[in-house]
Amino acid sequence: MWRILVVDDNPNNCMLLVSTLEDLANCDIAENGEDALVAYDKSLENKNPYHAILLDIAMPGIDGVEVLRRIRSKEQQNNVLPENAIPIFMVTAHKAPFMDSFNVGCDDYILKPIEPDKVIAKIKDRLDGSK
Amino acid sequence: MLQKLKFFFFLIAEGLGLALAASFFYLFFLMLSTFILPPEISFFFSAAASSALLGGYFLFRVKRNRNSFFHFSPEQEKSLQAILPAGIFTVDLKRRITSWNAAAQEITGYSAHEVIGQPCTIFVKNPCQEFCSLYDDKTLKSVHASECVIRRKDGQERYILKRADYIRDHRGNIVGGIESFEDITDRRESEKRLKDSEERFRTIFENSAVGITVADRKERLISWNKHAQQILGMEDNDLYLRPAKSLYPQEEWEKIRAMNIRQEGFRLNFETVMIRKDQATIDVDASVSILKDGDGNVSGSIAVIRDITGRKLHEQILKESEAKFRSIFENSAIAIIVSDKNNRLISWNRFTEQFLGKGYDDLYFQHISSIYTPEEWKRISESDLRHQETGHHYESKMVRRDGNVVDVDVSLAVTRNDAGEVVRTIGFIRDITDRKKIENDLRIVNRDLLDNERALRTLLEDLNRTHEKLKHAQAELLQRQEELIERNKQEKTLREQAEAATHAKSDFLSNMSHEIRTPLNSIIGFSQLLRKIVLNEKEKKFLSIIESSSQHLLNIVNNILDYEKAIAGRIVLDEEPINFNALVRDVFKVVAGNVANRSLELGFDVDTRIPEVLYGDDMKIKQVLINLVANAVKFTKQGSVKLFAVVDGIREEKTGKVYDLLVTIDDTGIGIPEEAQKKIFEQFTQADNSTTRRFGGTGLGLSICKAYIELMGGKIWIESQVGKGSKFIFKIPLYASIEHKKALEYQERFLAFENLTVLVADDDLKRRDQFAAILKDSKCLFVCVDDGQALIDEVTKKPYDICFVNIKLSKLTGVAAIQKIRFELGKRMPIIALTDASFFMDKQNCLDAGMDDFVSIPISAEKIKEKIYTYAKRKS
Repeated sequence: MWRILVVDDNPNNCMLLVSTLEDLANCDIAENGEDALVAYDKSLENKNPYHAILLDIAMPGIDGVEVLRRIRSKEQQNNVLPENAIPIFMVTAHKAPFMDSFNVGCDDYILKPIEPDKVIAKIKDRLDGSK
Repeated sequence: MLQKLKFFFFLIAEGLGLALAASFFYLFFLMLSTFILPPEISFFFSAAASSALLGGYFLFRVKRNRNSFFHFSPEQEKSLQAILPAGIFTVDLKRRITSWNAAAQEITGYSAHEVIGQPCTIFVKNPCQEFCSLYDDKTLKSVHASECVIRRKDGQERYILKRADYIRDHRGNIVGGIESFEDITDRRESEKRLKDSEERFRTIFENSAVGITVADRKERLISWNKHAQQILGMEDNDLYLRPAKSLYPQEEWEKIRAMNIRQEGFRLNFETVMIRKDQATIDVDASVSILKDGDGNVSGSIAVIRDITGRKLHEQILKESEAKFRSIFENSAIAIIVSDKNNRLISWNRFTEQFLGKGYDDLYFQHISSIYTPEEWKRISESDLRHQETGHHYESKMVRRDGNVVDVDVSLAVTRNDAGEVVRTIGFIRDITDRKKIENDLRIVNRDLLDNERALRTLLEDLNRTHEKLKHAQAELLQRQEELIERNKQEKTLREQAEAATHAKSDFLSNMSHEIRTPLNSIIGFSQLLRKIVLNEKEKKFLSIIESSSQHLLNIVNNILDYEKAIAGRIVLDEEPINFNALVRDVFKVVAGNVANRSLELGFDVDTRIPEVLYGDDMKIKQVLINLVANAVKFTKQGSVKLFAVVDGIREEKTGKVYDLLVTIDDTGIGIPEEAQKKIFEQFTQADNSTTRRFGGTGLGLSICKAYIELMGGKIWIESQVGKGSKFIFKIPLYASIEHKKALEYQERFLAFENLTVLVADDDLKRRDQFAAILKDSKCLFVCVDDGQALIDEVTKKPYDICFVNIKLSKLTGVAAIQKIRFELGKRMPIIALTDASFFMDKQNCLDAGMDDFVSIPISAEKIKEKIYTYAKRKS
């Protein structure tokens, strides 16, 4: 089982993703950007890092792109090699903002409305490949 | 001299004799005394005796000597006194005069018998105690000379110089006195006169208003007065023993030499030039006289100099002035005639001869009447113009030599002597024939003018009235103009309101769509998850209804978004490579899924002439194709749906090679009624509202297709027959290559922005040249500045549409400059930073400073043009 952090301000969406992935992963939920960063830091402290993060882009406060940027800059500070960087999937309704996140360093994206089979396939593909 | 020698000779001879005699007596007494006295005493005695004898002789000698050197006989004395030029008298101890010589009588006026026996003070003028004071003061030196005043017998006072001495007897006792005196009154007076005259001369010399210098026989200056110093600008030590030659320029000195003053003795009032101490030359008027001593030898010279520089200057000015006036006189374009007191012509200028056509002989010494017509002269002489003063002026007539009469205007200038008699008259004569004629003409013209003026005045009044009317009209016009402006304003406000409304609508739609999508996300997602859980058939059926409904809803929402974007012009077309064949294949793959369980023939035929790679917005084209094909499939129950793509034409555009593709989607569906065809591309429309119920659909698909195709520069239309089927046909241009096109596109876009002002602040010359090259063909007005301060100055001076600012400027960094522009000056135009790509921090600073965008260095023409295009568009 993988450990995956799901970040979305809409609890239903979180629920949907968690349900989709329940056979594959133990998911933690963060409902905003700040919580997501806290959870990420904690996982590092406990030496129990996540295998992936699903990150909604449109969130109040710190949005998904900013969370992504901060995580990547932390990794850079910690001298994490790009191939060892945590896979991050942006979850978005629009294609356009994803292009920004791609520049910041996301791995892939999941378009809303999500299609559970595609999500599972995508994550499996990415995480199996990294193993 | 001889006597003295003789005297000394006698003395020596006497000494030798005495010595001989002494030794002889000594031996004699020694022999005598040795017989009677003891030898010691006899020795002493003989010495004493011989000494006594010798001493006695000596005394005798002295006495005899005195008598022989200073003794005069009384006769001798008398005659001596008589012939002496000085007055001499002797007095006894009681100061009574004992002798009185002839000279004394002459000087004092007293005769001997009048004064002998009298006290010597009798003729001494009180208080002169000097005379005869001899005996009062025994300590006086025996001889002294003094001056004092005596009163003569006739009362005259005379100055005398006297000497006095005591008279002693042969024992040396004072027995009386002797005084000699001479009359020095005349000498004193002449001395005094000399002194006075010298004093006077010196005063004159010193205070003279002319410079005076005295030179010695070697021509060196030995004396001078103050004025000479002033003229030469020299001090005493400059002048002392200065060679006179050095005071003159070389040639002037030679001229003076040539005058031969030494032989002639003097030279008066010649003009020469001298050199001042400051080397300035001065004109002087000099007189030189040779000084001679008593023997007639030249002992020096005296020069009197006057500074006439000022006078010279004045003369020069006068000369010039005269020349000037003569020139005026001669060249004057009016005739000037000078006549003497007898009215005879004595002088005239050249113009006079021309004017009167007369020569010198015709005029000289002629009576002035000869130039006037007889009647005029009569008139003039009768009015006795001779008594007129300068400035008098009259008109008259003169006769030329050829007999023609000319009208003239004469002005007079009269010169009078001290007695008030006229000495000279000067006449200034002007030919006024023409003027007279013009005056006459003028008089006529004037009359006409007066008539005209009257007419004009009438016209003017009319004009004024018209003007009033015009003013009213203008005021009305202005009012109307203001109304128009007001209306324009209102219209503008309305337009803005409409725009705002459109915006609001657009915003509302996109927000709503987004909001709707969020719950849809959950609905669709969970529906799909639910499907995995085992359900019964009924439940499965319900679930699929939920799924299809939500999918439909999602489509509607997506379409609304797309359409809204297309309409609002928020879509930027991509320029991606397209393999058209593959694209069509993909589309059919997608659509095929929907017809799997229908007996429908799907097919497509793509022209092989279509190149493998064309450029365009692949996603939009794909969407259009899917829409159209899916649409055809939807409305076609049976039969076929086919797509044909052909090359309709190949054009060479400025932007490059363009392929026009003609795409036809041909179906055998229900067809579209003709009246509906017109509306089919309008939003939310289907051919028949009932079809919505039958076939579903948002009614936006075709609108989006139309919007996209038109956006891409193509067009779409429809050919359809009800019951037979429909053909949706569209034509789009696709580029064979985009590099050239892109460049040209920006170029074109540039050209669209006329008079766009672009300011570039960069200290790098190369980059500025690059900018100049980029903007060369555009109509942009392009200004470069060097540093931050210049940037601010320039921006303050006039508005710019776009600024490119290198953030590393000198004087004021780009960041600081931009901050100032934004926050202090409050300018809002777009500012684009030129940054080194590696300086991330700079970028952050720039953003904070209020920058809009970046271009990294090195810049490319494409980038710059893109930015200008982007921001200029935003502006418009």
